[in-house]
Amino acid sequence: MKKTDYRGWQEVFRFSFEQGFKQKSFKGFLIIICVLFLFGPTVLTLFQSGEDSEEIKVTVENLYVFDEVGLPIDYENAFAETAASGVKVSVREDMTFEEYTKSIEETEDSKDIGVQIRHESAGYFQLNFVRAAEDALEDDECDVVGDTFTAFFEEAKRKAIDVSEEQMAFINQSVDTQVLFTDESGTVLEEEEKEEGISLEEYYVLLGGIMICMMIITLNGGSVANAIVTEKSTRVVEYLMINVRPMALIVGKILSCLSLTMIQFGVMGGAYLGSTLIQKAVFSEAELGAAQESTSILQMFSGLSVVNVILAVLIVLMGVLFFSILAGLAGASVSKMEELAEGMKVYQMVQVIGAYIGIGICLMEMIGGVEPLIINICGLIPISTPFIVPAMLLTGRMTTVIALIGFVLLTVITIVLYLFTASVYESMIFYNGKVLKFKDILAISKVRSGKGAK
Amino acid sequence: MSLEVKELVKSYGDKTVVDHLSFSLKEPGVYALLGTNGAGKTTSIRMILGMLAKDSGEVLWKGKPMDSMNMNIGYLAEERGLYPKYELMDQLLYFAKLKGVSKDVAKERIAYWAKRLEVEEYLYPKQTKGKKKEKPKMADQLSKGNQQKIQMMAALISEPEILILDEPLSGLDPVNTDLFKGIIREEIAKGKYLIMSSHQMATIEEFCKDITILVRGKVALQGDLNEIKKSYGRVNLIIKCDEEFDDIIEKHGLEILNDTPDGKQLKVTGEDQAKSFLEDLLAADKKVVRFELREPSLHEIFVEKAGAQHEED
Repeated sequence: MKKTDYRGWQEVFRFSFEQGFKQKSFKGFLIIICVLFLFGPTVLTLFQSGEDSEEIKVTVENLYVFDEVGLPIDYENAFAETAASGVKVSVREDMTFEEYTKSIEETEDSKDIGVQIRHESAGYFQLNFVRAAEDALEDDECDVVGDTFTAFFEEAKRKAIDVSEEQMAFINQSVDTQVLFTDESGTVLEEEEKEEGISLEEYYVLLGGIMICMMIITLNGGSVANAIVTEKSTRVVEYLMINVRPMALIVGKILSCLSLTMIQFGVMGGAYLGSTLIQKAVFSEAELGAAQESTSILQMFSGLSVVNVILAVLIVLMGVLFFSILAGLAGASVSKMEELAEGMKVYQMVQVIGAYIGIGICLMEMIGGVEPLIINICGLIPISTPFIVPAMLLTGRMTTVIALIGFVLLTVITIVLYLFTASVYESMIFYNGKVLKFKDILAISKVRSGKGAK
Repeated sequence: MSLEVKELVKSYGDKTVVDHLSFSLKEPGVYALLGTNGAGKTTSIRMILGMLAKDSGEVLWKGKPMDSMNMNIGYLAEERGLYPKYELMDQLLYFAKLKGVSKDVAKERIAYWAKRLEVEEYLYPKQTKGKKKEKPKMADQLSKGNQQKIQMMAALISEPEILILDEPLSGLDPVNTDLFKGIIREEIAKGKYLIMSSHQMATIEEFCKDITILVRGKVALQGDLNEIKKSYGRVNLIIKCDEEFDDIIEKHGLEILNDTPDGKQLKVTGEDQAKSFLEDLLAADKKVVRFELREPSLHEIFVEKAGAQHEED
């Protein structure tokens, strides 16, 4: 390859970028994502906080307690200083809970609720609330009474056995068992770590990462293929190629499409960030309830470090480059815009397989955990590397070394694909006819390498 | 000698599409590259321009290998194209930039050629008082002829040393054909080197001194057009009489090439046979309205050569 093979890529990049930016579809998309990401979450929070802040008027008159546990609890003060402070609480000993339930069967317009407190043999307390079928109460106010009484019971239960909240939390911690083995010298051998599945939240985070990668790759690949077919089908390429070589054309195109895609995602991210700032300024933390959530999401990224973040970004970019070159090759294999879908079949198949491997790993992780070896092998397959490695690396499920090997392999395969594309692109760009199949492209490559074209 | 094409060869698989093509432009002027459809003209032009890798052969400019990347070459492609959805001005500025022409110079030249080719209204949107400014035109809003004018502008915007025109007049109406012909004449007058490919033989005869006829990638005929015609001799006799004269044609055993209201076109062996034929006509008291003995036209030569090659194949 000569230096002149790349001359002019800057002009191609600039023109393609400017024209892409000027397109109504691009501007429209930017406006839509800006509005959605900037104001969507704020409006949503506004509705939610509006719903939450609506005070529910409690009109319940009596709560009859049927205590079958016998804990020393003063139920009469259960609703003191709460939204349900107007509710009178009485412990009923004159009848059983079953009798009470029967007595209210036919009652109309009642404003009373009954609660049975019992201890189940399975080892937990059960609170059963009962109200008349034709009573004069709203569901919301009954929920308030139920929730407030349950919270009171939890607190009273703890106080009844005279332990602090911290002590209770400590006592309630789960018990784990471990069997250790010793070797002949008496040294304790470490137990092999068991694979544990991930939580639903972690699954969503991993899946979200894969989906974002897939969106970037799909958007970018589609734009590259589209741009190449447009130039080919309109014959503009004839004019361009007097002063610009095919590889400069494809490089300029890929980089401009990549920049436009990055702008779209940058705006998305920026708008979301802006939305977070707006929400923080407008709503209280209680209304948002987000601080705790964001902390827990951050805790999922146990592999977060400067090196890993840089590596993850490089892997995503290299993946985009790999799939863009593949899309460029697919674009050059067709002569008409209407044939593009047919020409993109192989490209789409490769991309879907890559993404599905990533999604499969996520699913398996959620169900019951995956052997690190399997994650590493899947991460090293170049077509799935950009979908798996960044998410696994940042969540601490893959080591930096393995990720680096994945990146190197992906880079090597991208270079090989690029060199292959360079060898066939010139012949393909002037080709007019039916859609070229992969074997046709291979045949072109063989002919070209056999001739040693000058 | 300025432009020299030596032994160009291009094959796709087993099919040789250009087979040892050689020609040269010794001085400024127009060189014609002719051929039937699929003869290899466009492939040859692409190889000359360096767009397409050649299997063998070389293209020299002033004795050195020609590098289109470092030269100022204008090209009007047969398969014309513009970006359908981009503004025309943007496209012309882009093509100019790729040829190393600065934006200011490009704008001046665009203004000149827009006026010359009568396409100002498409490049400079009007703003009528009180009305919203018109939107700049896209290529797909132009007729085929006007698109061709924009492409001609793209070819001329860098004031090229060499101009390659592949079917420059196809699809143009007579008014625009004359406009294009005027521009081609101007470029010749400026001392430019032109390579022209066309199926319009009359246009080639009008502009070109030297020609190459390609048939299925091979050179079927090549050289100075006048010399080629002379080599054929004056063998085309066009004759028109008031009376029928088929008996005399039969007597001389002449082949009728064409029979039109303007006269019969006969193929003779030379001036002697024509003279003898005329004497017989006069002796038979036929009133001769038209008697024209001329060399074959380029069209006839082309049809003969291309046809013969087809038969051989």
